Amino acid sequence: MDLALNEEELKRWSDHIPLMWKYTAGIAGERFLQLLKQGTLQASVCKNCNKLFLPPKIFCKDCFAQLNEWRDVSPDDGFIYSFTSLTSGDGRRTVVLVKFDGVEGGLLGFFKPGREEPKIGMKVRAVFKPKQERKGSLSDIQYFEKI
Amino acid sequence: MSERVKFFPGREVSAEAFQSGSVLLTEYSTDLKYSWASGVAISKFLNELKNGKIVGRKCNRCDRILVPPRMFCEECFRLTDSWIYTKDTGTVNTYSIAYVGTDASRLKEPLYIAVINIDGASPGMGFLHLLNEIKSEKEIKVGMKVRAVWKEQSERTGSILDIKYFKPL
Amino acid sequence: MPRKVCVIGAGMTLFRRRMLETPKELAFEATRMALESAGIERKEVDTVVAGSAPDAFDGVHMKGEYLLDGSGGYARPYSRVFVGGATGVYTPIAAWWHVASGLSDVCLAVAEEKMSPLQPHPQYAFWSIFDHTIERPLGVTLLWIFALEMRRYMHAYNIKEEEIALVSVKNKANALDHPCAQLGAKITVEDVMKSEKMVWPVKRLDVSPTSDGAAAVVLASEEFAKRLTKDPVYVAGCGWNIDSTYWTNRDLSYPQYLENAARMAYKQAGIKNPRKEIDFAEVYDPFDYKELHHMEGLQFAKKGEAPKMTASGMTQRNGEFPINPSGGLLGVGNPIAAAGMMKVCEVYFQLTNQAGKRQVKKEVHTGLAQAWGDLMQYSSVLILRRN
Repeated sequence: MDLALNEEELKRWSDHIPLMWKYTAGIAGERFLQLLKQGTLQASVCKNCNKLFLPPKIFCKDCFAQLNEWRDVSPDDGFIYSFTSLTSGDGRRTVVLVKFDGVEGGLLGFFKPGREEPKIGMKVRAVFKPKQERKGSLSDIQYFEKI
Repeated sequence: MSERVKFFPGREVSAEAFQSGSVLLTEYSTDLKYSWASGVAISKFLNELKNGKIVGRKCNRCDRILVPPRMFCEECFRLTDSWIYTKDTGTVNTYSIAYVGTDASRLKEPLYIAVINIDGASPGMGFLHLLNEIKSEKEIKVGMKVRAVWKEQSERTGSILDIKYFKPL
Repeated sequence: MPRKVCVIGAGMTLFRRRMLETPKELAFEATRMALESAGIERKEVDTVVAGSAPDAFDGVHMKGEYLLDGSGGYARPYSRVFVGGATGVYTPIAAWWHVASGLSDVCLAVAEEKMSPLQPHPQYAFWSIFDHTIERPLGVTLLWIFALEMRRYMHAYNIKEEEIALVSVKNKANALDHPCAQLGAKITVEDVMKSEKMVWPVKRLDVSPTSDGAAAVVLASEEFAKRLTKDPVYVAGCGWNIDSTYWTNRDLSYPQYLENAARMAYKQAGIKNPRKEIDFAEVYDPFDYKELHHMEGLQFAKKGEAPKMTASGMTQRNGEFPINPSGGLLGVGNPIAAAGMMKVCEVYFQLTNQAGKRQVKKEVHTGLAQAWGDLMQYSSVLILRRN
């Protein structure tokens, strides 16, 4: 292509796109997070497939049934499925993906800071923030700790 | 309704619930920053705006003079051939009057906007710009002849805004 | 030769300014309803196509991936298609390829849009669809381009704002009978004329609202469909076409690209005289003038004559040639991709006598759905027929 322009003549245009969103938690999310605020963990249940989903969904991704039944999952029944460590300005934090026996899915959270090192398969419990600090968010779980 | 179409699902959230936060809301904001390469044709276009000139690009096969300029002809699908300077006058192809801004809020003063077909380019070739020095809204017409009002040379930066607006001839 | 393809079910959620459901949940509810309406289960679905417009509304990048589970696409050949506002009618066209080609017997087409998350107003996202270097610095908003096109259309054929307003009056009244509708209303031409000026000639009541919602249809091979019904609804034809990206160089008074798309669909459907051989149509109406513009592009009316046809009452639901019996985007709402799909659902509901209070009076065999989008340059057309 005959550019007919030298490099200095090529221009750039700079701008920015500020964006802001407010997301609803949805049918399943609203209920799940309100329960979390109460210190309770619940999964939705697909009776056809005999499956529990966490975080809960209003549908089964396999059989596509509408899920209306929910069941308690004990915050003490978790195990570390995988983990990774993040180093940032405020120090090192360990992110864990915690699964629960018999439940499809899992919860992302932090491992309790301290001397204990996480291990895959380690039994853990969800420790909730004090009730007055909970907001109806996944961060209502302060951390997971070794049992 | 037939027996199969009975119920339409969905749960509305009222404006009040949304504002008061009686439903859980998660908020995020971001400010995405970009720096876009202008490419050959638009770089030249912007550089010439800085010189107070409008430039188009000619395709020798269909004989069209294209504004805004591009290095390829979308009809003939070949490279265009040469730069052609047009006039800085034109005709209002269509216009409207904006009372609201990008976020749908009201503007203090309405903005006159138009697609202006540029004299010296092929018929129908033009670009979007603003109109001003309008005495009355009724004065604006499709087909109205207009002329570019340029910024002072020292103020030009190589931007579409080097033309302040178009005014009636 | 492509295989014959049928529509065997349709579903949609309510269309509202703000919905509690997440985009996935909206997609699920519409898809579930479509499967129930077809009387089949997800295990019978071979392939899934999802359609959704710019990610900026829902505020989720890679919305195709995000919508997957809710659209029934998990562990299936699945893809997302996107042609701006035309997506809603293009999605079932893409599903049609899946079945017509012999690739699958059953393909789901799902469209979703949740515009309410974007603050302070969904319109904001549209600002970044314009050219960043030579248009955005002018302060352009989406309404500008509509206003400029509407003005040019009015100029070309000497059409008055009042004639255009009749479309809004008709569609909002039709929407009163749609259980999902967001803005059904009994209004007058005077109400439209007196409504807030946004970007003249566009006024508040010339415009469809921003909405949340989802809609879905199930497409199947003729053989599969005949197991469910003796008298299925066939996809008779489809077409799509696009104009130049240099929008300021286009003829804004006539949508030639839509004529091209329509002729492609008519050829496939064996339609020579669309006005006589099509019984009713759902044409894209994000703005009232667009219904008229599109009627002309679809060859229902000669250039500049759609307003006369509208004024004659012919396009009323009980008229000779109903246009937008659903209530359209102006009345039912405009969750972009879902709004186009809503039109496909409406054609299906009408052809199968499931439209309830909206059922058009005359007997109908052939209906058309059309959508329009990208930077005002894309049209998708789908024709359904029941013998």
